[in-house]
Amino acid sequence: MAAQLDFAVLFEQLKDQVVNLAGISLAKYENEAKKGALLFLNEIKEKLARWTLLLADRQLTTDDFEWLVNSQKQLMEMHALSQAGLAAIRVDQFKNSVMNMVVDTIFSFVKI
Amino acid sequence: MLSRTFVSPVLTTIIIICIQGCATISPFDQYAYVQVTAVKVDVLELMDQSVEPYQSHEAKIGEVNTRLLKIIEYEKHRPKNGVTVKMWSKLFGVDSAGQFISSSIIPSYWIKWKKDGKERLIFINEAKSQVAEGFDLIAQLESKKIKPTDSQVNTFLSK
Repeated sequence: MAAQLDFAVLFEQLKDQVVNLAGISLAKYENEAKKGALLFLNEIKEKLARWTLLLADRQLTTDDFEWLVNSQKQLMEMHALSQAGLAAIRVDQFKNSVMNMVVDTIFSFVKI
Repeated sequence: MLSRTFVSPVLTTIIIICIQGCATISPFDQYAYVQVTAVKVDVLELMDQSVEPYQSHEAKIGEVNTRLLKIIEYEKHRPKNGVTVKMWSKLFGVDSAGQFISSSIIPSYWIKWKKDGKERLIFINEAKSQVAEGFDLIAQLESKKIKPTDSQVNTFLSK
């Protein structure tokens, strides 16, 4: 019943659950970000090595090579932006999880 | 005593306000996703044609550019969509005066093609892979955004 609700207890319970949820969500994101960054670095290394060989072989002109390196610079910036976007999505997912948790906890307290 | 019939609408309203007001980034947009994947095919097909003289394809380049500009305009008007708009500016940048940013990937390819007349197949294939990656990054970010059907309102209402 609403009149019997102890909001201090309810709030403490919510706080503990949010802290747990944040720990799980952020740890998962950190691992994903690290894995993505390493994959991306390997990819750049492979591309640069290939373009350098093609340039030395005269299969690419210096203009071609310069265009490719510039495009890679733009892609690196796009990757960074994408990571920022993914972090924002993660924040929104976290907010949604907190909202769900709040609703569930309140319902369990008022027993409806 | 609070009944569920009273609590449910109140909580639903609070949740809807929170979702709409507190979102950090725009939600998934099916139209934007379809547009980016479709125009990617057009751009890559046009790049395949760069073994031929630029002048023979100038009209088609103009059409594709217009299509890209329309997509970017749509993206600019979506709320909280700054990250995607910035990503577009790296792939197909246009300044405030409507001029192409020559360092951005696609305009710089058209400029190079015009200057060179024709491109060699080996370069085209490498360049296509770069352009495709740019489109994929935008599409992947869009696909990971929260779908409207994922919101907790539906979870809540289904209880």
